[in-house]
Amino acid sequence: MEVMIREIPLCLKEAGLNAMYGALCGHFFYRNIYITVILMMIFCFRGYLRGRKLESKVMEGTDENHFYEFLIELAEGLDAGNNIINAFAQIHEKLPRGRVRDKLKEAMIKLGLNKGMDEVFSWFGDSFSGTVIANWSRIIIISFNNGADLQKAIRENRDLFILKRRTKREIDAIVARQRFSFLIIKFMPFLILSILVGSFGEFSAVLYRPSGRVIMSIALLMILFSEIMAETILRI
Amino acid sequence: MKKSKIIDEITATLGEYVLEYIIYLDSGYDSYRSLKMLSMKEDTRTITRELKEAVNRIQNGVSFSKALSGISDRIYETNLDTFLRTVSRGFIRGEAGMQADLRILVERILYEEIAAKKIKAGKASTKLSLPITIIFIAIILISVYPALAQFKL
Repeated sequence: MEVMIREIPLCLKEAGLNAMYGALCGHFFYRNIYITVILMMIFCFRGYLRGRKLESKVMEGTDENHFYEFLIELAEGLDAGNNIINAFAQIHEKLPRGRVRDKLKEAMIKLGLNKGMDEVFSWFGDSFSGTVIANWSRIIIISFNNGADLQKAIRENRDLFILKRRTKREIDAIVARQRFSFLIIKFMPFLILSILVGSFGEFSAVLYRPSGRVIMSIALLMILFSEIMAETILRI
Repeated sequence: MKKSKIIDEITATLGEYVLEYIIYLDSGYDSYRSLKMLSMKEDTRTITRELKEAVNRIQNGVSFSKALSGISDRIYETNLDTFLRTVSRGFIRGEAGMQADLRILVERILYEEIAAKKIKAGKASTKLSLPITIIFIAIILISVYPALAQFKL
């Protein structure tokens, strides 16, 4: 029995995490409930916007990966001697759950209703407009209409797709490693502050007086600036 | 856009264009029609923009090779130049054998693209030392200030 697990949307996850980070900043740097709430709201909003951006990127990346898999499987199906429609029928069962699989299933139904290959594929491409998938769908239609050896074209490009995907994963791994090391360093000020305040309460009380708040604000701005900088650097 | 950024964008996207061009040739399109198909892409990338302009120039009576060399004159990138030269040679001498040349080119472009990305990823770890230093300065500021304030008192 298949169990559907509904994941929390990325934008909400990011908003929640950022709100928590904002609350930490407000609590550790100002010890003031109003500033904490304001920072929480600002960070939450920022996290939500970032999550929305990430969500569309992740979705596009997943769709692209599924589509590459589809093309590779299609080439194998055609190699095995199936005609293009039978090859389709076999592929959509093998693909991982996602938008591409759902759309292919619909495409199969449309093909079953005797709609033309070009009509079905242009509908398929339109569902992913502005992406690599839309572009490839256009190419498939042209190749199909002109009787080109699509099978040969896909087979020849298959290794390149795999190479591209492998490199993307390698780079993702490098970036994730660096992102994690930066995350640890990002939380160091909070650790230092909690040690300072916990062990030497009176000594560090000066940090929460008006002159200390200016210093704390400068430190917080520096941390936020470095975060923005790191994000820009890690955008490869 | 900065010239270096344009070159970066071209390095990252040229492979896809050449691949697509090969498939158009495989479909039986000639050099000009394949180029026209490439220029009809719905995006705002530099290559699409330049190809659109080149196609317009060809339609206005400028020769095929002159229109393509115009792109190389404006933006010089080795692989883009090789691609455009191969295409204009194919237009003059016929498309036979052009696909094989372009396949070698696309492989080279993809390897270069990958190498460029790996270099960029490698550089990022060094570049990250700057924001890390800023965080450490912030930590020093936080931990030293109470002592300084005590000293003043």
